[in-house]
Parts: sequence; structure tokens; C-alpha cells
Amino acid sequence: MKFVKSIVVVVCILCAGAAYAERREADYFARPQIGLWFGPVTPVFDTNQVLDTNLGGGLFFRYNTPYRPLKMGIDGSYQYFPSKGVNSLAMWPVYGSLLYRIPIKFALMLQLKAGAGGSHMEMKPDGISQWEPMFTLGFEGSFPAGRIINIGFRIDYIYVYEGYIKGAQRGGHIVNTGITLFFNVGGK
Amino acid sequence: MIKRYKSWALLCIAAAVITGCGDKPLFDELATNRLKVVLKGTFESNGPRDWQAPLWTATDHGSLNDLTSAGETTAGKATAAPRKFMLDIAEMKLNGSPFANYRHTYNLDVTDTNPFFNGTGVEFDCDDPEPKHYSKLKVYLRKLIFNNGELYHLNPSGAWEHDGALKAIFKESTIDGFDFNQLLVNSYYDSLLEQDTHINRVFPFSIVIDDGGLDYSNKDEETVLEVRFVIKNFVKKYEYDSYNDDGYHQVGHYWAVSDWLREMKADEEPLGGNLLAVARAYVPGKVGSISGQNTTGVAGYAVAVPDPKTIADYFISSTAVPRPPCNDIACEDSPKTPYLPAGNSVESFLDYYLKYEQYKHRHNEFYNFVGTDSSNTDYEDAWNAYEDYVKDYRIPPLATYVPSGSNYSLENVPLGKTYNVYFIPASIFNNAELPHAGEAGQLGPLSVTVNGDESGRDF
Repeated sequence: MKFVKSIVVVVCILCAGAAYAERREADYFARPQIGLWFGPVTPVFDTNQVLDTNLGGGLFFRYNTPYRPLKMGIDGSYQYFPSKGVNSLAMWPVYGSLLYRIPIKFALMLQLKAGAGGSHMEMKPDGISQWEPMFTLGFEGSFPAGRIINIGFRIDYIYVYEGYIKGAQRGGHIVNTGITLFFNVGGK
Repeated sequence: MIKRYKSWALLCIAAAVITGCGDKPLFDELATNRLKVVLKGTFESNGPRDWQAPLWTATDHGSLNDLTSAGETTAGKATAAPRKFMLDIAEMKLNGSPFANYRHTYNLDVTDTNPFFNGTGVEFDCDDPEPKHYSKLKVYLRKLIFNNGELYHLNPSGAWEHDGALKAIFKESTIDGFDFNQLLVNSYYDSLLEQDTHINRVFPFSIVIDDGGLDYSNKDEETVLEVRFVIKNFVKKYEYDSYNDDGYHQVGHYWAVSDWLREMKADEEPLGGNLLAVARAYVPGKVGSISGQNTTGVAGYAVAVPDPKTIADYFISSTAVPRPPCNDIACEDSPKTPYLPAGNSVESFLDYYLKYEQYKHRHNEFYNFVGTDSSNTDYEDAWNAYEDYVKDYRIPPLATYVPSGSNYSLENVPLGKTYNVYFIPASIFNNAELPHAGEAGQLGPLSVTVNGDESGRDF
């Protein structure tokens, strides 16, 4: 009888442990996160006529909000665009964003992103260097590789706004695609 | 928790404040150009003289020694005047810095209305360079082609026969014409040097940006870099020699820029140093003009050079330093071997052997000049003196043609500068030639400071 009781207690503990562990596992993604991405940066629309695709990369940090599916983020990246001629443009976008995690039970964590900020722009050989406002919309997917590591992808559209500058008739349209590696940090 | 969100909000606001700094529309700067490169095929900066028909016939000079222009018709077809000029430019650089790496080809009609020849110019795509001062433009010339080149060979009877049109490759297609750019790689002087294979005068072709160079600023709405190649009314017919597949002597008759500055003699090929060009820069809206009337009674050119320079700084002296000769008395130049006759007549072979004896005699003379003179005064110094003389020729930055009794106007002259203006009679330009300094009929200088449209500068 003692043996049976012992088995029941062990099974209960194991089940409780598994249930507890499952709940905590779901929470890992809700921790603050820090990560990096790397991939092609592609000018699109009329920007594609003056700049060429290249590789870019950046860092990002995410923090929770009281509303669990929503996170706040800050992103910084370096993107260098050559052209068919001698012109080139180096961009350092820095922006804040809100990320909404799509509430679908799926192996992948899917997030929608919207943000705004500024981008430092340096055009050569003209030697023009300045900050410009920018806006972004994005989509991210990732799956956990353990408690800490997440591996995923991201697709961001960046619009560099120049409408406030006299004589401006265009803006910058960039699509960032990349693979991401980020870490759940802090929290319990 | 509230404090934490305040920090984020402050960060976002700070980012938004920082972003208000830019004042140049970068993507418009990338899509448009402030620098405009304009290519012209004229000696004149505006108002060029029409193509002069006699120039096409006044071309029987030293190069056409085997088959004359008259003989072409007998051979079956005359080499007609060119009707097309084809230009293939790989890229351009300013002081060695790339700014225009868009290859461009031009197929231009040899007419007075074509923009390349009417003073308007054709545009070459470029990007804006770094804002600074530039003094030299390097143009990477791939092809320079005139059409209407013809091939002839000497048949066994000793008569010339027409073989068809000369062929060249332009825009990756075979066309009728002759690419004389390949002959501009070396001048004849270069070909005498040990390092001749390391010299290339057209890839790149270096052009001085005259009249103060190019001071490029991206604060100006537009800056024009005008590049002029002297092509119009500066064309001659030449002959090259070779053997065809059957071993017969063949010649090609083709059109190319005049060898007025560095003469091409019979049985020679290098034509380098005869492509003359000048570049200048101006900012539209910051220019004036110099105008006046030609009362000299003859047609001519109004030419302006920036003060304190004078015309003598551009045109070489009419007291020529002659090209070292090669004749039966003094041969300071390597003699050319005669071509084997194709004919089966005894006379043609006797003629060949006679020429060969002459060649041997001249070669001995040449050896004496080169080999026995330890100080090289008869050969090296003579050729160096000749090159030093011809290499100083410059094309004036401003020039226009003016018929007798008409008004002239030099356009797009930068404001605030002083120019020395000269009149040069048009007759000096006949026979695909350019003027020397101090030749008869030249008038000037008139010193003109340009503060706007400067009129009444009559000759």
C-alpha cells in the first residue's frame, strides 16, 4: 500500500512539475530580450533605382508591458548601400517600437511590429551627413531553442521621411530581411 | 513601473527631436545630379563653324603613299567622307576619383545640326563628386570610329582592287568603320621609347580643366563641366599597310583626327597626341558673355583665355621645331621597310629591290645618328626637343566662329574673371589645321572683365 501511495505521490509531483514547467516555459518569451540580426537590406520602389542591395545587421532590445502580448523595443542597425555609380549611402537607424505577439498556439512566436525613430544618414561622395526621421513596420517569427535562446527571422519595411525638407520629392524605402538570434534575459 | 515607462517615453521623444536635423533631401540628391558633363566635338565652345567641305578633299598627305585618293576610284570605290562618328566612353574620373562610371556609347551624325557638332553638346551620365577643387579630367576612351573606311589590295597584275568596307566593333556589334582610338594609344615619339608598351594616352585620356579648374560645390543648383574634343573640321584620311591572307599587300583607308600637331608619315601607324581636348566648368546663373563685331573683313574666330595668360600660353610658336627627318642625307628616324610586291612583273620586283637598297642606305644613316653619337644630340635630343615643342599646345577654353561683318558672342563665361580676347583668321584653320601663336592676321588682346553681358568688344 505504501508502495502504491509512493507511486501516486511521485506521479502527482511529476505531473505538477511538468505543468509548472510548462507554464514557466511559456513565460520565457515574456522576459526582456536582447539580440542581433543579420541579412539583406534592400532598397525598394524608387529607392531601388538609385541604390543597390547589400548586407546589413543590427542589435535590438525588448521589454515587457503590463499587457502581456505587447512588448516595447529599441533597435539599432548599420546598413550600407552601394549603387551602380559611385554614390553610396550609409544608414544607422535607431528607433523605438511596439511589438504585438499574435496569440496563436504554434511552435513559432509571431510578432507584428511598428516603430518610429531617427536614422543617421551619410551619403558619399557628396559628403552629406544628417539625421532624418524614419518609420517602420515589421513582422517577426521565432522559435525557442531552450530557455534563453531564440532563433528567428524578421522582415521590416523602413520608410525614411524627407517630406519636411525643402525640395524633397522622394523618401527612402528599405526592406530589411534577416535571421535573428536573441536571448531571454532577466526575470525569474 | 510608471518611472520605467517614463524613461521609454523620454527616449522616444529624444529620438524624434534628434531627427529634425537634416536639410538636404538625400534621396533626391541620389536620384538627380548637380554636376552635368557635356561633351562637344568642336574647337569652339559655342557657335561652331560649319563642316567645311574642302577639308574632305584636302587629305592627300604623307600617309597615303601607296594608294592615292584618285587611285581609290580606279580600284573600284572611293573612300567617301564619313557620315557617322561613333564614340564609346567607359568612364571618367576627376583627379583620379571616380564620379562617372556609366559606360556610354554615342552614334553621331557628321552634320552641322547634330548636338555634338553644333555647340550644344551631348550629356554623359555621372554622379556628383565630392565637393572640392579638381584640375584634371580623365576620360577612358574605348572606341573612336568614323565610318566609310575602305580596304584595298594589290592584285598580281600590280593594280589596286577594292575589297570592301573596313569593319569595327561598336556596341558589341560589327559595323562599317575604323576604330582609330587604337592608333591614339601611343604617339610616334612614344613608340620610339623603351617604355612604349607602358604608355596609354587614351585609357585614360587626360584633359586639363582650364580656366581655374572645377570648384564643385553641392550648394550650387547645377554646375556644368564642358568637355570639348577637337573633331569638327579637324579630320583627315589616312592609310595603313598590311598583307592579306593571300600574301598580297593591302591598305586600309580610314578617317581620323588630323595629324596637324604630330605628323603621321608614310607607313606609320601611331597617331597618339593628336586628339586635342579641353575642359572648363561654369555655374549656370553665374555666367555672362563677351560679344562684339567682326569688322576685319575676313571670317575668323574670337578666342578668350583667362588673364594673365595670353594666346602664347596656348598656341605653340609658329617657329616650328621640326620633326627629326629621315631622308637619304640625314636619317634621324628609323626608316620604313618597303612592302613586297604582289605583282608578277619584273619591273615591280626591280622597283622593290631599289626601294630596299634605299632602305638599307637610310638604315646605315640612321645607325650613324643613333649608334655613334655618344651624347645623343642627333637622335634622342632631337626627338625630345620636338616632343617638348608640340606637347605644350593647348586649346583655349572659350572660342566661337564669326563670319566677316557678323557679331560674335562667347557664351557662358564665368562672372568676375578677366579674359584676354583675340581674333584669329579662319583661313589659318584650313586643311584641318589649328593656329600657331603670332601668325599673320591675329588681333588682340582685348582685356575684358566679365560682370555680365560684355558687349561692344569689336575687332
